[in-house]
Amino acid sequence: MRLLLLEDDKTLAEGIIKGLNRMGYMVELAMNLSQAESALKTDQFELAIFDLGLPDGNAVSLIKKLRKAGQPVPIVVLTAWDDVDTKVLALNEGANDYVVKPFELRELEARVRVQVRKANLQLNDVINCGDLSVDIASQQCRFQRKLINLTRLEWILLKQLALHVGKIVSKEQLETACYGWDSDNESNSLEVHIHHLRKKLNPSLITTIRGLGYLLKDESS
Amino acid sequence: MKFWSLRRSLVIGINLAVIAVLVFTAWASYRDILHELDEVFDAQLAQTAKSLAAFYTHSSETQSVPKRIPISNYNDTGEDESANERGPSGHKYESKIGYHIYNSEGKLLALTNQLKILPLKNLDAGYHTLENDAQTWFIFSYFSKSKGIWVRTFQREDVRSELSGYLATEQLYPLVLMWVPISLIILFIVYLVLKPVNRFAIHLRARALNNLSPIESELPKELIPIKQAINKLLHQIKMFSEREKRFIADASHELRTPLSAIQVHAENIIHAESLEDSKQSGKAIFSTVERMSHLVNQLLRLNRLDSLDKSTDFSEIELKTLVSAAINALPTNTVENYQWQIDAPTIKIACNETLIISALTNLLSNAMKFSPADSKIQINAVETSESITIKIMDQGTGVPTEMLQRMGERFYRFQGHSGIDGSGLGLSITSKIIQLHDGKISFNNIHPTGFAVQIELPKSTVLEAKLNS
Repeated sequence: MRLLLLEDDKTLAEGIIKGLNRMGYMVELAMNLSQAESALKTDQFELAIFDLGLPDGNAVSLIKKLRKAGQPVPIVVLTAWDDVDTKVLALNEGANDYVVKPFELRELEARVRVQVRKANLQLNDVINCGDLSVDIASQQCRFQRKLINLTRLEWILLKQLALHVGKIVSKEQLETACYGWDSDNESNSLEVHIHHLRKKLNPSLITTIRGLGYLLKDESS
Repeated sequence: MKFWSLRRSLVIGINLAVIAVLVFTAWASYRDILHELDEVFDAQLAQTAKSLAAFYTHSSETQSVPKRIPISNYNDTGEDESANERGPSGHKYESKIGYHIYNSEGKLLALTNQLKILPLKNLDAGYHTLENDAQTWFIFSYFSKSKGIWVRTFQREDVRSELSGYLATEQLYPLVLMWVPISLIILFIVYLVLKPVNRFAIHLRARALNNLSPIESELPKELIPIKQAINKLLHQIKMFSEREKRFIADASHELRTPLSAIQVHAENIIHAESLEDSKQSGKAIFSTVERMSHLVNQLLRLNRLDSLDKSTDFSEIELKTLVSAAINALPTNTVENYQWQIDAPTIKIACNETLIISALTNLLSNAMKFSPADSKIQINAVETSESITIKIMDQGTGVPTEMLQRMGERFYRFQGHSGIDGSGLGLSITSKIIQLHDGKISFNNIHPTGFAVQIELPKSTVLEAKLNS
């Protein structure tokens, strides 16, 4: 799952990115409004976290602009301004949630998860697919009721596929979800991780669609 | 005055004026009437005297006892109905009027029969006033040449004064009758005139405490300056509270962000997978705490400056001393990276040494921060008759013209500089210090590249004159 973080304070951004990485998220950083705007225009994110007070203006204007242009990405506002007026304004302009600084990463992650869940029309954080059960909240994966141990990257891959169960996920999408923008991974490393995943689960669960990407078969339907 | 009321003063004042006019009018007309009465009675006295002289015939030359004409001589019992006063024998007032007739030798020939005979023997012709037995009498004395007799008619004063007393009381009724409607009209007019004042007061009282919008109610011309003054005050309060609000919002933003960074990194330490990871987070926390304490110090300094008195701790310091002290306060290793060009005349500046040095240090450190290494930083000073202007110029990128205006605003940082450390309070502190010295600070871009800060400080003599005045 890839998120966009818009935050101008470098130290804070580094901390958030580190924490969210640990929780199984790939996070890209934008340090001002124009960076965030172009990132959202050219790339796809599961969700965006916006600080409001940025060097080139208030992010509420960007939220408004994005929503006007039909950008559906869920936006969680993360700001030090705690007055009701600002909160209401941000929510009215199209923000999905609001977290006030200082905050605990756990809370931020939970709110992010809720918004992603909502966007994917899920009722809870557990995605079931035949014998496979993926719990996004506790970062656990069970196959035939047995807990499967996954590496961080394997988990990110499986989560990405599970969130789009029954749909083709492109190789690029999976790569950015795992490595982000500035990664210099070898071209076959993704295949290696998929291979490991298949080995740990049922090999037929993940199908390769040549030239398009990968697909987690929806076995429940 | 504690209970001074416009309405009460107006009502009382106008009423007093009206009463005074009414009383004066009444008194004047009373005086007129009295005069007319005098004239009528005096004429009557004269005419009666002349008629008596004309009709008087002396019955006997040998008459030795004067002839007494009988009158009703009973005592005055006070006010009565006219009908009661009229008796078959005459009227009780008969005792108050009368006449004496004398021959030319002064022998009394005839008289009205008063209880006491007035001593009128030697009066000359004409009008007289006589005090007798606590009574005042008006007398007309007439000599008939053809008959050789003196006729002296007289009248008691209280006949006239009683009448004029009646007339005076009569005057009081219209006075009171007129005053009542007039005072009602006054009350009504005062009410009408003061109505907008009342409305204004009610309007002011009904305003919510946090309502700082200008007062719009329509007011008479006299109240407009008050309205304008109140509106100006409201505007100032509004500006002030908005500035404070913005400041608090900015301060909380600036403090909460590093606080979040600390919290997030602390959380990361707890969940760190390696020692290297936790070391990194620890370093991040350390640098954030440093940044925060710098910010808190700056905030406290600004707060202290805000509460500082204008004229504290001023002394005369050589400009060159100040500049070198400011440069000495900068970190030596960075100072060496720039070419310094200092051109200051020998002149003393009246200032708070510590504050001015910290202001200069701040500006010089900014100049270094925002310009490339090895570039030139210029400091020069110009003296005029009234002030000393210090200019600090660097060869950095400057700031966009439209941003110049916001320089010195608390927490304002030009976004192009967001990569450079700073609290956004340095220029606020510097501006405040210059303000405390009654000076001016201005910011400008230099063509083609560079940034200039100009400080204008009043000369000590000018400053002293200002302080003494």
